[in-house]
Amino acid sequence: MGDDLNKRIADAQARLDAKSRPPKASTGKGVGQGIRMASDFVAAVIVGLALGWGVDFLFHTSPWGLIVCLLLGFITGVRNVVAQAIAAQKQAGQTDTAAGNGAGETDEGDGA
Amino acid sequence: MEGLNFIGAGLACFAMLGAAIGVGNIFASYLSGAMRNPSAAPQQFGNLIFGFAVTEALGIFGLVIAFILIFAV
Amino acid sequence: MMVSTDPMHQFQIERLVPIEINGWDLSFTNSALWMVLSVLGVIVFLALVTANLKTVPGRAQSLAEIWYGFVNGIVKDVNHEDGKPFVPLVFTIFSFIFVANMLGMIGFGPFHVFTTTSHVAVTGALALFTVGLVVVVGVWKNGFKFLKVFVPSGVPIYVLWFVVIIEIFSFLSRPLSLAMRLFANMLAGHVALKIFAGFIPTLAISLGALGVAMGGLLVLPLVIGITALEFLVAFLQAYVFAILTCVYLNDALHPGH
Repeated sequence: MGDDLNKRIADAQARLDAKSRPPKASTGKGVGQGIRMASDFVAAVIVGLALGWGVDFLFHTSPWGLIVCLLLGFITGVRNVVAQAIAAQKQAGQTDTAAGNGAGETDEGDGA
Repeated sequence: MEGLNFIGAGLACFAMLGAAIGVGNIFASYLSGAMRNPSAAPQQFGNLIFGFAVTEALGIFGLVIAFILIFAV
Repeated sequence: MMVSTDPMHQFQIERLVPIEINGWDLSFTNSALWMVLSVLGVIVFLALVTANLKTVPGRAQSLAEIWYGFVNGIVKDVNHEDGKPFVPLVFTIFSFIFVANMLGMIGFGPFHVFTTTSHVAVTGALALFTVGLVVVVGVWKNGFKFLKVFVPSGVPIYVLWFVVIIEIFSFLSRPLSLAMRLFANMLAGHVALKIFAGFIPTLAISLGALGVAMGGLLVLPLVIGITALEFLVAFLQAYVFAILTCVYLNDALHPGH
């Protein structure tokens, strides 16, 4: 009984998905992504600062703990931003090709 | 001479100004380039991140100096 | 001559019912009052609306359905089928932050609503709860394999130690990033609103009729625009918090990707 219902839901969903939908306006999503990237970068640097200060405080290695941990935090921040940018680009590419297929005009494939 | 290290820290933060201008330039140039030739944009994504990282690193060096002046002097 | 009061005054915590137990200050503050009110608002609204469900929903019921469907859609997009048990959790977090942000947008002056999400204490507790829950879920579902979160697959062995350090830093930065983003956005938005709105009476008093005209024609449209932007930010912050909860849960359920 339940399986039948699930199958019917999946079928109906597939039929809905097959129809081409107008692309949604995505200003809000872009702003959200930008805010995320900026704060992830800054948060990583601050974590580096806190850890470096803690290391210096515990082991009396001032100022080397601060320098090393802050640079590690910076690298982490860049990694956070890069990971997110790649994910966003992948997603954008997916929706692009999906929309292109729906409209039936794919004049260029993944050339890269 | 109490507190001069805080003035130094504030001056060191001017490095972030340069980094901000540089990062803005990099992304602006990338966007205008990508608008002209969108098919070549994905190959330059790595260069974009490389330029961003190097520029931002120079700003972070200033920030390191500022934090050393505040916490470790 | 400045008329506007201190823009930070709106974030002052006041003790409404002073309680002190054993030297600990456990007073019921205005922050606590508005947290309770936002939780009660969500519960009462949803309880009233879903009391007698109809097949063809009315206005209130379809609002609740859109609300739930939106959160359900976020979880489904990020976590697919594994996310189903976590829909109530994400719905609770999203609803609380969203309603608290929106309540904070109401009124200045005599009827002053306190913006609970503009304090690090509140957002920090939310972020620590979220990340703590992610760790608990990860350990419960995967046991020791949860540590694979720090070891991405497909990395050459000679740089692995460095990548692990970076991943640990990245994991530690999560709660800070969550808490800082929400609090900083709400704080900065409300301060900007207050400062720009304060320009109008200052102009009116110092320049007379010219000041009234300038304030009305130049500053007031700006204030309206910032208010609209603040409504967008109030929604976006709740949305980003919900989506990040889903992303972190996904990392915990499938470590090592």
